[in-house]
Amino acid sequence: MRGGTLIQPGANYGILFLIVGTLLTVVISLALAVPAGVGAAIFLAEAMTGGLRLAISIMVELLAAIPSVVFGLWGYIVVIPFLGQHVFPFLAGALGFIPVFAGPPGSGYGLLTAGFVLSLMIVPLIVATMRDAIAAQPTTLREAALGLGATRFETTWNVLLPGTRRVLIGATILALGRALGETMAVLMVSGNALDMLPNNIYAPVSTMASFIVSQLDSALQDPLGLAVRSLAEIALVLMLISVVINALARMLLAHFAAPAART
Amino acid sequence: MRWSRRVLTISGWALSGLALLVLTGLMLSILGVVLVMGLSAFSLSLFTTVTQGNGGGLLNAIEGAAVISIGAMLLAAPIGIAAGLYVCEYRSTRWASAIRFLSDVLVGVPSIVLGYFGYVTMVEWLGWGFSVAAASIVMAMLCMPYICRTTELALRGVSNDLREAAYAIGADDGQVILRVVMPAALPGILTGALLALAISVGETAPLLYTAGWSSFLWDGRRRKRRMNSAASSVVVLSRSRLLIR
Repeated sequence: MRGGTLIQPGANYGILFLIVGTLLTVVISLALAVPAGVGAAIFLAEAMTGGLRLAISIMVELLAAIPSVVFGLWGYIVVIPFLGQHVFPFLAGALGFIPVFAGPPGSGYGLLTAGFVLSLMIVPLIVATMRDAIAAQPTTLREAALGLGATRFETTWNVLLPGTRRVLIGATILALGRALGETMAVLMVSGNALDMLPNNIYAPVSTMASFIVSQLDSALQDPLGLAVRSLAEIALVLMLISVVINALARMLLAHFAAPAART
Repeated sequence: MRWSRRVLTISGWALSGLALLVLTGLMLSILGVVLVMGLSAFSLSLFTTVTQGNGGGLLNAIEGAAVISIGAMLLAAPIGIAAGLYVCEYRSTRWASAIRFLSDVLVGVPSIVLGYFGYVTMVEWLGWGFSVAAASIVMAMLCMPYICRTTELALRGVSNDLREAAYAIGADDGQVILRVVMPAALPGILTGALLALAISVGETAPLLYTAGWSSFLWDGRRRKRRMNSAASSVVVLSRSRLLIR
């Protein structure tokens, strides 16, 4: 036959499992990175001063400079054995009554591991942006709240943080865009599931970006061009999603930053 | 003070401090693992011999990373700096905002999509095969928007007084930009180029699709010659174990 390939009766193909895997890992990574990032930013901006603050700031920002394969390698050597042998069995036992946390806890390669490693890769962005945003809040607000008898933490939490809401949303969406496109680290820790939807939080998954790399071999040995074109389709969907998300984030950030930048 | 406020304050500080502690701890863990495991295998032959199977050195990978990154810089730096110049010095034109928008879009495109684009167009369609040329062009596409943006920011930092003074003594556009503004902004522009170089050295996924991998040194051919990069070595050497999963 020309220009086609024989498909087994009853077989069907789709990228739903990739879209689900991508969105779930990204949601988990944001759920871990946003609270941790905001907490760390509060502590950095309000509780620390001088050399220590500078040193830890540099440290957290160094995280952003580490190539993603190194995160993947670290995940492979350290995180997977630790999570797979100690944390996941414990979680499955302690939180087993919640359906998504119920066992089997798996080998350590999976959704939660990928989300955890991803969250570390995006957290520097959130910490750095939020630290600067909190520090940039007007001193008068701070003095007024302290003058009313609020403690320093109440001042930060109730007065300064609400002012940084738009920055947080913008930084989160930028982080989301970065997490969507992350390839190598996810490839090395996610378990690279094929045609299955995850049934719990420990199950192996594939993301769109990592799937393109893991199918490198099919692209190379492909006389019909079928694999190359299907992968191009995945790349197209991934590109559209990330470009839309990035445009959204930039619009939000530009809207926020516009009055300050024009002075 | 009511106890609920005291609890909020204390637990708030404790939780945010804990978050920072955990982040620094994980950071130290990454650095520690890489240093300890790397140093135990460290030797001079790592830099002087090529990879053989799962052993040997990394000379081919280091050379590959250098060749691809230098190639990418040679392509990306002139275009990126020129684009940044235009976007900053002619910022009120419609073209400038179009270029800025497109370069923002390019930053948002995941690197693997760029790599796959290179694979489909250059490796397959143009028939270059896995090659230095394809890898360098894709890396240049990846770096260009960063260079453009940092150049624009550096040029914006140059005070307008300098430009006005130069125009006042009779310089034309080209002289103002090349002789006055560019020298003043040079440190910022170089920083941006170095940043882009760092990004391209650490990038892996697009290289697997454009440079391939090989255990040999470069023979000088720009096309139809597989190359290896330091970052892809990490993946390829652990690949046999990855595929078992």
